[in-house]
Amino acid sequence: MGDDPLGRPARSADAARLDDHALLAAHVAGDPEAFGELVRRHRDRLWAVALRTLGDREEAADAVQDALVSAYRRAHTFRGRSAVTTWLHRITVNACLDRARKAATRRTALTDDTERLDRLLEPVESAAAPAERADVHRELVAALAELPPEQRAALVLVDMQGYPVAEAAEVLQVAVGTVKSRCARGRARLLPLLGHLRPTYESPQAGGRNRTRGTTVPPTRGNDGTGAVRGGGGAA
Amino acid sequence: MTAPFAGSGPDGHPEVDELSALSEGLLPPQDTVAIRRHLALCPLCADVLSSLEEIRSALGTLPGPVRMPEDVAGRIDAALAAEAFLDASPVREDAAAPIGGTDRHTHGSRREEASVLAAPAPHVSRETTRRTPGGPSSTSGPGHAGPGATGPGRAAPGRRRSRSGRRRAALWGVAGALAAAVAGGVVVPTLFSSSDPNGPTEAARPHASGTAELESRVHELLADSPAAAPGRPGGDRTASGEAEGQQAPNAPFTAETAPTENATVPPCVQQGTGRTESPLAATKDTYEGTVSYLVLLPHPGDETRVDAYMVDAACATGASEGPGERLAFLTVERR
Repeated sequence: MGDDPLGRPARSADAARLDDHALLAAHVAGDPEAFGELVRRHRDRLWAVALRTLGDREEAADAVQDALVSAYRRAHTFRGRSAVTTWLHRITVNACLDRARKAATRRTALTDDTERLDRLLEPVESAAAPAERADVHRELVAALAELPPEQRAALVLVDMQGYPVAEAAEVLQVAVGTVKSRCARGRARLLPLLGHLRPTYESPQAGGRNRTRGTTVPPTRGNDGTGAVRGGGGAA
Repeated sequence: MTAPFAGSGPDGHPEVDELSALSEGLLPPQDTVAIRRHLALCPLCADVLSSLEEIRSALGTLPGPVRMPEDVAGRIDAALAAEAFLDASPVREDAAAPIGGTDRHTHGSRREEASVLAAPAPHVSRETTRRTPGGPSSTSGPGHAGPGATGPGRAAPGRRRSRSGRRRAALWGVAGALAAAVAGGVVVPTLFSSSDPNGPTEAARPHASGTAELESRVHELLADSPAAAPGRPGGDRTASGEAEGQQAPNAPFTAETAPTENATVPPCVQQGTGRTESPLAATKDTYEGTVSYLVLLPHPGDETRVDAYMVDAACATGASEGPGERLAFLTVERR
C-alpha cells in the first residue's frame, strides 16, 4: 500500500488488466473482485510451495487457505516494498512453517507412506517417467521430509521452484547468506539419504560409490569407480 | 592417498557441510583456498561435491504439482467469499444497532457472537492503567452498555487464535466494525444515543474493512491526544471528531478512557515499530484478538499524516522475546 491507504474504489470490470499492486489496492479500496483475481494469478505457485514444504495435501490446503484469508484481511498492511507475489509467498511460507513445526512434534516424518508420496509426485510423473527415475524422485521427496522445516523451505524455494536466492530471502525474511547456508546444509543432509540410490541413479560424473555413512567422506582408496559398493553398506 | 586437510573431518577430509557451503561461496577465503587445494587432489571429495550439485539439479527437476487441485481452489474461494460476506453486509446491521442507540440488545445469534468478540475492546482499547479483564469496573457506566455488557471476561483479549478460534477469526469483519464503535469509544454509543444523526452513517460505511477499522481507531486516538495534534487542519469533522467535541464538556469517561498523556510504550513495542521517535500517541488495544499497542508516529516529511503501528503487546509481558511483532501498519491522513 502506498500513498493512499484507503484508495478510491476501483472499477472491477478490468481486474484482469491491473497489475498485482493495483489489484491489492483495489481490494483494500473495496473492489470485491480484486482479491479473487490475485488468488487466481498466484494460487498454483503458492500451492506448489506449500505442498512441497509440508509434504501433505491436507496440511498444505489448510496452510494456503489460512494464508490467503490472512492476506485478504491484512492487505492494508502491505507496504509495497516487495512484490505482491513475494508478500503472498511470505505469508504462505510462514503458515507452512508454523504447521511444519507443529507437525514435527507430532510425528517423525511427514511422508511415511507410499501412497502419499505418489500423490505428491502426480500428475506429471507416473506415465512418462522411467521407473528408476520415479524411485529417485520418491526417495528425494521422502528425504526432504526429514529435513528441518527451515532448510526444507529454502530448498523448496531455491532448488525446486527456482526462485532467485534474493527473492527467497525476502520470502523467508532472512539474509541472503542465511538462505544459501540453509540450502547448503539441506543438500548436505540429503546426500547420505540419497546414497543408496546411487547405483541406479544415472549421473554423468559420479560412480556408484555409496555415501550413506556419516558426514565425512570415507578416507580410503583412489576412486576409479571400480570400488563401488552397492546397496546400503558402508563405503570404507 | 589424499592431501590432508587440516581442521575439519576426522579423516583429514572436509565435511560434507563444508563442501556444500563451499559451493555456495559461504566459506571464508582461507578455508576456500585450502579446500579447493584438497579437492584438486582428492577424487572422493570432488565426487561428493559433484553429488551435491546433482542433488541440486535433481530437486530442480522433481515433478511437482502444476496446478492447485479444483477442490482446494474451491475451498479457498469459499473461505474468501465468507470473508467478503462478513466484511461487508453484516457490518451494517450490527454496527448500526448499538451506535444508533435504539436497540442495543438486539437478539440473534450473530449479534451475540459479535458481542462476545467485541467485548474485550472496551477495556483494553484505551486504557492507561492496566485493568484485569473481567474486572467489575469495566462493566459499569452507561458507556459500556450494549456490546460490552456481555462481559469482558468472556473472551480473553490476549488469547491467540487457535483452530477453535477460527470462527472468532472469521467474524473479525463483524467484530471489527463493532469494536470500532466500542473501542472508540465507549464514547460513541453514549454520544450518538443523544442526538447525532450522522453517527451511524459514518461508522456503518458499507466497506468497513480492517483498514477502515484501524483508521477509525487512529482518528479516535488522535482526537483524544491533544499533544498529537500539532497543526491539526480543520475541515470536515467526522464521527470521531464530533465525538470528541461533544464529549469534552461533560464526559464521564474522559479520565477513564484517555490515552497516555505523554505517549510512551514499552521499549520492545517501540522497537517493533522500527522507529525511534517518541510516539505522538499510543494506547493499548486489541488487534485481531491480540493485545497490542496502537502507536502513532509522525509520517516523515508530511505533517498532515501519521503512521500507525499495531504492535503485539506480548513482548512487554515477557510472553515473547525481542521486538514486538508488528501486526499492522497504516498511514492515515489527519482530519
